[in-house]
Amino acid sequence: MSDREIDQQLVERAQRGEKQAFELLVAKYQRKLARLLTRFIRDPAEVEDVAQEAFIKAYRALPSFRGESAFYTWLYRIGINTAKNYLVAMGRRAPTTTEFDSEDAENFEDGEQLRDVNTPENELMSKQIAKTVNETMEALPEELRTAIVLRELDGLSYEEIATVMNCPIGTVRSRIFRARETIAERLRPLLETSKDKRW
Amino acid sequence: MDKISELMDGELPRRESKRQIARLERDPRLSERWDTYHLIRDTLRREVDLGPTFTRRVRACLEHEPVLIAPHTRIGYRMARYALPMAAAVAGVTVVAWLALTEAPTGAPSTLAQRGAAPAPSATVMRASASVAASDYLVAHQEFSPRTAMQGVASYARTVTAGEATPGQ
Repeated sequence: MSDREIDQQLVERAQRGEKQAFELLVAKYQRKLARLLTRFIRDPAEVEDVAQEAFIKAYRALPSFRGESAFYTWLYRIGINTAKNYLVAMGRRAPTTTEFDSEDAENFEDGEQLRDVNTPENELMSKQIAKTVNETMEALPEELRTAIVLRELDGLSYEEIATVMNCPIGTVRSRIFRARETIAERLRPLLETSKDKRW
Repeated sequence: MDKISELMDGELPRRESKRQIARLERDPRLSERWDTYHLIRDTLRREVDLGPTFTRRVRACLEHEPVLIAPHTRIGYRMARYALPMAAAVAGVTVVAWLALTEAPTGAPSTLAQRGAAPAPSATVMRASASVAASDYLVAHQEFSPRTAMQGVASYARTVTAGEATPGQ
């Protein structure tokens, strides 16, 4: 099942009253949405507020979502409108619609300078997470590291990775899972420290 | 956990994906893994982290939101997209067929002309039917006749047939 179909499944479940399904979408798209919002709003605390408002608006509008576009494209539009309304309400200039076309939603890329936006209280946590992930990646056996890089950074399918790495597709599955589990285990103490905050 | 890894990569078959999504909703341990795997993905892709409190804040807000009871919109959309035009087409064909059958009688030329008339001898009826059949054939092929001045127009002309009036009508 493709990524879009998975999102559609989650949307349909949320439409049938499963709030947890929508929470899985929040977990999936919160950082991507935040990156979009940083193009409109510089203040990190405001980005958090607007992102939260956008998700709640999306939840309320979910009955009208018919799956004609990808969920993220739809969420992207809601995010942009929420940010614009926020800026207007704050008496600031909102970018014109043509500056942010919804067709860019799937291929949205930002500059490096936007990536370190964070509130002071979250900054340390974000840095620790990034440091742990990067250090664990460096320490991974080469075949695990290559597999997860090809998947997460190059966006290759398992079949394509199997061809590149010249191994069975089952081995690719196993390598990517083991890489994720290794990193997740290294993150666990960090996330548990802030468990009451994060979960 | 390995299935969650495959699910987020879109590498599971449809049925298994649905099963895993249902499990994800029920099992907090799995949903936590879903979140961690996405955190890893986004960190590798250098996405913006909203901080440790964000998910909790959204969840708290969602708790105050009413539970959605919306129709299965995808099915509704598919219905609107495919089933309704198909139903309209069937209805259209039915109407056309009904009109064609009711406006092209193959029996006697006119029921009005015969209304109130005494039953005709069977020999007359046979002659009339044969005449009508021949007439229909000629009318249908009239536009191909070399005698027709404007060929191809005949099919658009309304043809009126007249039967012999019975004396006394």
